[in-house]
Amino acid sequence: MNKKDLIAHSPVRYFDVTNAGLKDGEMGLITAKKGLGKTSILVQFGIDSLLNDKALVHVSFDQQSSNVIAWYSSVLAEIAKKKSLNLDDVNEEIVRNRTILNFNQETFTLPKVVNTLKALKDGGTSIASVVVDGLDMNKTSADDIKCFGDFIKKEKMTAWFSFTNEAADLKGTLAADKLDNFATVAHLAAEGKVLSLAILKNGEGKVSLDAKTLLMTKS
Amino acid sequence: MAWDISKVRNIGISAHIDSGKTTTSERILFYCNKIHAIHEVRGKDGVGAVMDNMELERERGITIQSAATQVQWKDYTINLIDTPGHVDFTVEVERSLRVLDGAIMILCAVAGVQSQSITVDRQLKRYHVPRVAFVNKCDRQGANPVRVRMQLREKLGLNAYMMELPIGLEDKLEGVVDLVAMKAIYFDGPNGEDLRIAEIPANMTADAEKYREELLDAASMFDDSLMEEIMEKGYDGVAEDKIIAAIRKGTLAEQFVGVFCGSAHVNKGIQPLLDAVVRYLPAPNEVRNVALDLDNNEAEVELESVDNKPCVALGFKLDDGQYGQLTYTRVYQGKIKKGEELYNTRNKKRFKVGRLVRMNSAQMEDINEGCAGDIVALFGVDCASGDTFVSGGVNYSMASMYVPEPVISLSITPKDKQASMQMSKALNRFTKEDPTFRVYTDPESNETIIKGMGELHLEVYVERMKREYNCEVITGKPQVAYRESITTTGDFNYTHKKQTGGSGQYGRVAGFMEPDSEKDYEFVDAIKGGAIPNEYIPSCDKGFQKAMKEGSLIGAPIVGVKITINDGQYHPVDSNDNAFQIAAIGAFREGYMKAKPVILEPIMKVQMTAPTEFQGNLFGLINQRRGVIVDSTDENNTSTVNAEVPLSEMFGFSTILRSSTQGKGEFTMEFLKYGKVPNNVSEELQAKYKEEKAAGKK
Repeated sequence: MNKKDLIAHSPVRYFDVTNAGLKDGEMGLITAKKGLGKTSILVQFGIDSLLNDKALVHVSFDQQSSNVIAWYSSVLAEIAKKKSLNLDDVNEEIVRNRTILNFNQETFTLPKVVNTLKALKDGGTSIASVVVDGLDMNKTSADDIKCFGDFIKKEKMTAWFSFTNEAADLKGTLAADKLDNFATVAHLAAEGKVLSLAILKNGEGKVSLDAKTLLMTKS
Repeated sequence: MAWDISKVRNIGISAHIDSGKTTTSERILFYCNKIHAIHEVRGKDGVGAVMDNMELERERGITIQSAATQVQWKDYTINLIDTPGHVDFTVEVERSLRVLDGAIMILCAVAGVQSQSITVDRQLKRYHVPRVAFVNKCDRQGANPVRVRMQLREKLGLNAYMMELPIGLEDKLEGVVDLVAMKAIYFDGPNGEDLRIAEIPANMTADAEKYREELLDAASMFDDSLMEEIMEKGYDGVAEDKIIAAIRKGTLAEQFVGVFCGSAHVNKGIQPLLDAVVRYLPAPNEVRNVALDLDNNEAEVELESVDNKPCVALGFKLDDGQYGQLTYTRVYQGKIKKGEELYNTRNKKRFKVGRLVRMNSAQMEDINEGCAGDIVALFGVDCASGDTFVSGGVNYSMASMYVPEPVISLSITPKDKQASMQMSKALNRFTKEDPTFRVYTDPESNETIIKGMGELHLEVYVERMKREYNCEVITGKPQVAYRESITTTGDFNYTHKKQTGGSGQYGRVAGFMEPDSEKDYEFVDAIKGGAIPNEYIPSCDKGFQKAMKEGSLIGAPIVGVKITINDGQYHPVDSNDNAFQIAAIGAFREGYMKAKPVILEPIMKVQMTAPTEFQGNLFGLINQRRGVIVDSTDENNTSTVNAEVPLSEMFGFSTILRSSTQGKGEFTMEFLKYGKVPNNVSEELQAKYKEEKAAGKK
């Protein structure tokens, strides 16, 4: 019962109205300048997958696992706080279905991440969704992104990426050969006191972010 | 030498297993002229390291028991305690930390901060032990002390700064750059005993200046005058002793950790580390030690490291040597003198101090007295570890040490009659020495059961019985310490009635039980209007506690239950203590089944490392064991996987891990929490319990 409530109140429901959500086999990209809330958005997508019983792998290139775990705990607590929901059982389930992978950008490439995901699957871990946070897309080749996209497509997973970039239009984000791999692109920016996530590719409209909790909310 | 307390350092060496603690200790003994040759830990030369004074340790290459030893470095006395790194022997680490004033935290230059480094860090913080860090094994491939320093900051939240930089790395390690003196130090001679001070190599000056500036900025946070001096004279003009004083201040306040580096194995970096111990770690009189006054409701009493006050000392470790029991003792206040009488505040017995010695690993020196701040050993005292010894009419106890509950048990049967006699002798000694090692006899099966903190922990004791007591035992299959608990509220209303002639029994107990995540057991008396008279309330409490010793599902102890009684009934003649105890037991069983009981099992925090090519195998091993992969990190072609795995699935894991990683995988494991067992496992356990019960085994 509780989980249903949490799903119903998941911030991702506000994102659903943009029709920019990912289908199986697709990848999405969230861009924004540094420190605006990209990780929070990725974590919200991650939690939504977990609440829907979809096993998740969170790949981080710039944060320790303990920080990633703290992100999940605090975002989940914020979602629950809104409706005074109890998290006891949900927390345990989330830990059980979430795997965090930690890589160093200097020594690890997307094809190597694919190898790790394959190893996880071969080891018996089911994966439905992936989020990749902190990867420098400028240092990542189009071929590597395609290799990752092909794997996601083949395995019918979904993957959200974050990318530190200030451009508010599609052209300014990435070169076309890299961009082609992403079904959805959305840009997060501050407009006065409001943070809003604008859909640049696939779907339309905007989603606001609560400035205090960084949760997606009504535009 | 006259006893000058400001020139004493009681230090321990804490580290992740295999970081090189024993090798480092061995080098310290060598450079302090305690020993005159260096031996390898694994005893390839047939001698073994001096600090590993047990045959078994020499063989396994791990240090099981901490050995205390005193060395002289320059005009300082250093009491050095070598602590075990394996988590199974954490109680030894805990005990040592309780009596130490400072610590060297050793880290591996390749592996950096590992799972047990985190455990050690927690322990050092718990006992407020200031530390210096030594990044060892800089001669290994992939060594990177600067990265390890970053990990100390990021993973442990320590304010860590490089005090030295390595000159060369891996097989090109030549020496270190001292960032305080801004000099290069090389270690010449066959065993690195000849220090050669030289100018910093030209290709390192820029780096040295960068890290020195960083270090001085950090140190100046603890001393305003240092900050002023930096502003006036620049980074190069600051006096060395001013920098040392500021760093010392930060270290003692546990707000600064100096990072030194080198390689004990190739004899580089140890002497500057000894200098760091005397420079930055506290003397006994710079540490606050508190005892509890047993004559004054355990009020805290601050102890003074002076000789002219009543003696207060703590026996922190027992050892059975060939001359009888040896008790390692830390003197906190006053003096321990040979021939003087002391009082053990736990067993309330007086005893005379007989032979008094100072230890040098397994060798000893006879002494006449031990002063405040010293670590000595007493002979033939009947005591347990953790006992407090006092004189002069005070009745103090040092705060008790935190002792974790055992999580694994094993049945042992002596092979023959002679072994049977030896076994009780051995067990008696081991339980005195190690509070996490427990022994009991199962009343139903009459088997002797030993309990401990892990498979290796029990294995080592079984082996020690064989070697030290010539006592061979047959071991059963390891058993996990299951628990039972409830998941929802269950009410009860139970009447115990026996009124059929003669003196009767009557008691009714009503109320409810609910899950309690904070405490194992809580009893709330909410009786109004004397429905149960006050005199029978403790009887109810006692009855509930008895009922909780054995759950209905698999006979395991029940934890995490809060019981409230709010109604009941008594009989003026037939009610008594026993009747209400029985009523409470019946009430508990009634409520328990309504409260949806579950079985809990110990879940271990497991960290595995192996070359990246075996990453898939590591994942597979976890998944096959009902484990949860928490995270995985890849660095330098090495995968580190952290997981949570039920203890029952981890038996024999070291062999399996070795075979799946061509012998290159390592793992550590420690108790994390109790977790609910899955339904299928719960059903299996219950069926097995019923079967055993029917067969009369339980």
